[in-house]
Amino acid sequence: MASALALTLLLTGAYAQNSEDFTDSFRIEDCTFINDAYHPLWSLVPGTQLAYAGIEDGEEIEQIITVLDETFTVIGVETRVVEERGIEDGELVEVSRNYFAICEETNDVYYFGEDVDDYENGEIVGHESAWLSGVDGATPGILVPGTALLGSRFFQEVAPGLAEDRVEVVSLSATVETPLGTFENALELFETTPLEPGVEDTKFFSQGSD
Amino acid sequence: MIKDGPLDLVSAVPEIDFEAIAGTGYNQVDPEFTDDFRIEECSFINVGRNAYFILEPGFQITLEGEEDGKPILKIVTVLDQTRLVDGVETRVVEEQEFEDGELIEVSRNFFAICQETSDVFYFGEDVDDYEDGEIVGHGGAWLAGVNGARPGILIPGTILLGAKYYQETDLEVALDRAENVALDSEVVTPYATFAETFETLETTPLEPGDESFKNYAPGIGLVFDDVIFLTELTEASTDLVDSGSGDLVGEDITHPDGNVYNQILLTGQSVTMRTDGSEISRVSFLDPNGDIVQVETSGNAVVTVTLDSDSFTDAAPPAKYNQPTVSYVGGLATVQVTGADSSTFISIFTVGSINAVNQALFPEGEEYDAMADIALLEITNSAGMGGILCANTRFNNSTGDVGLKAPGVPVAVRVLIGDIDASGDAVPNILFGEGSFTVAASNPGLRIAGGDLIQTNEADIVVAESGSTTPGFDTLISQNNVKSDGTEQVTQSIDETFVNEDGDEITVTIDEETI
Repeated sequence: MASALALTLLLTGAYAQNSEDFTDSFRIEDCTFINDAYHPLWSLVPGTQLAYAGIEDGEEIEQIITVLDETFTVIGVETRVVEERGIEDGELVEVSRNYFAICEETNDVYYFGEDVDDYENGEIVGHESAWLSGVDGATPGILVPGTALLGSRFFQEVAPGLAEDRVEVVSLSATVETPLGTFENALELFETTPLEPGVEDTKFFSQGSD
Repeated sequence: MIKDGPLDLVSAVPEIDFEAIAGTGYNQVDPEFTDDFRIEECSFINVGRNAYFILEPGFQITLEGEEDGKPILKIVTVLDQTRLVDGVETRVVEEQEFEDGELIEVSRNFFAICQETSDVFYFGEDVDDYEDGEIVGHGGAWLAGVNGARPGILIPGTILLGAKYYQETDLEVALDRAENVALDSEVVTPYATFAETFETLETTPLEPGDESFKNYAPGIGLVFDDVIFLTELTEASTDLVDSGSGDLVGEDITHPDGNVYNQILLTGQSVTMRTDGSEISRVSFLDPNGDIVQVETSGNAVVTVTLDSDSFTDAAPPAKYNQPTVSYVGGLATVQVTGADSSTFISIFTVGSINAVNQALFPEGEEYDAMADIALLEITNSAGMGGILCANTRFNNSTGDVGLKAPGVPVAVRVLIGDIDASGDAVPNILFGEGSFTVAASNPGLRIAGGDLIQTNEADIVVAESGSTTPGFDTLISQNNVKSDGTEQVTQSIDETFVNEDGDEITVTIDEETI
């Protein structure tokens, strides 16, 4: 029975596919989205707030992330609004409203877009890198996956030409020391964007403090 | 959202004290591959599926091909057996391999699906190697919990390119590991052509240099394995009558309207049917007025119809119909639905002159109530519902919950209810999830068809859960209707009090429509 098959078979899989490909399409059609749940790496429970600070080029940088008690419907999905306030040397430079929802089936946190207000001297001067799923071909990306597997490469933002942040999972066991505490077994994401070649960033996500 | 520099989580002082140390997993063989999967956060199920793997009893695939001039045949069967491995009740999947027509290996593989992530975990395998019909070895057998082995991931819930993970974690015996190398490979097999398969490259440090590719098609699973291709597929067994007392009296009956349905006759107090997306399935019985009631479901659902023991009547031909050859049990029914989703529709109605194919069923001059009298439709453990079509249903009882109780379950298209009437100490409900009516349709929303919602016991109608003041609907629409015997029902004025489960009053907007 089997011997007759061999000649008629053809496999056209691209084995030599570029190993640097980043996943840009996700099976969101299989998802039931929720927008107010706890997620170990990116909680969407309203009221959650995280504050970050550091120094870059001699300037003090602060970022305050707040899960708002607000939702916003993007491509038919009611997403949670997460506000990020960027402060440089004590001055507000950016306020973004980011839209997230969690796929109940996979626990992936999907990123649906962001509205951005850039500030200078207290005035809005621009809206750089704002994007929205459903507009100009943009689709949701994954901010953090439900299961982090080493080597995974995926777009967090899928807005061609506007916002194309993409990450690779480089560690699941990073230790990060911060003023708030030491975090072990942190997820480390190496972030790049084809829109700004050479710009690199590393982000750590922890399930909690030790 | 890229920021160019490192930012630290702080309490107050923005000083940099930044350090990242690469950790070392327990497995020293190859730290590039994930071997720790936070399995402690999983609730495991052993019947289910993710996009690329089906773990449903009876599902079987056959793959065939040729290697070194010899025909190879592999049959993979999801068995109706489970096995407790490392504290988890896993499902047994049998693989039989033939070379040149001779059985060379039978393995029993243990899988379970993490409900939180849809990852398919691999808990080990028993292996029997055969030669000339005799067992000659057990190569590659391993078990989570033994020799330090832990469960691996066979197929992740979300496929991301580049992901590297151990599928097996027995350091001495079994260390298969996979890398996701493509998401859109076309594979042509004798069974079908699959345009977009997910492809893994499998290696093992136990045999350096060995490489094999596997391809998985969505909704099917393995379609290519190294040298063999999918040739046959058998869907999981779908016994419609899952449990309880019910006879499948008609299967795949084509109705004049083109729908294909299955007819189950309730023969005892309760029956559970398991339906899937491909068919319409009905359970029939008599309500307390002697009307033949059909509980009809399409889409995914597990539906249980239970008749109240006080009003239960033994099987007998229906007194009001010309159907002496069929015996129906009767009583006041409660219908429970689980496992439904936004494609599931349930409809409850009586057999009457305007919906029956066989008009000879109805004796001249016979009076019918022509409404399905049941107690409760309860929907739980469901992602959603497509529609609840009970315009010909009058929910009534003198005890317990009456009406529609689907807390947290959104309904995509519409909810139709004939009427609800609670007496005694019964509690009337029109309870379903927020986020309903998202699918555009004619006559959407919550509609009371011909009923007035007047409660004999003057109870307030529960429309929201405890602690919530938001019903599943924005507006309650009162509309006219036609009963199953053709009697017209006019639109009623509704003037009831609505509350949440705590008894807090909720203002409901009511519209009247005549359609």
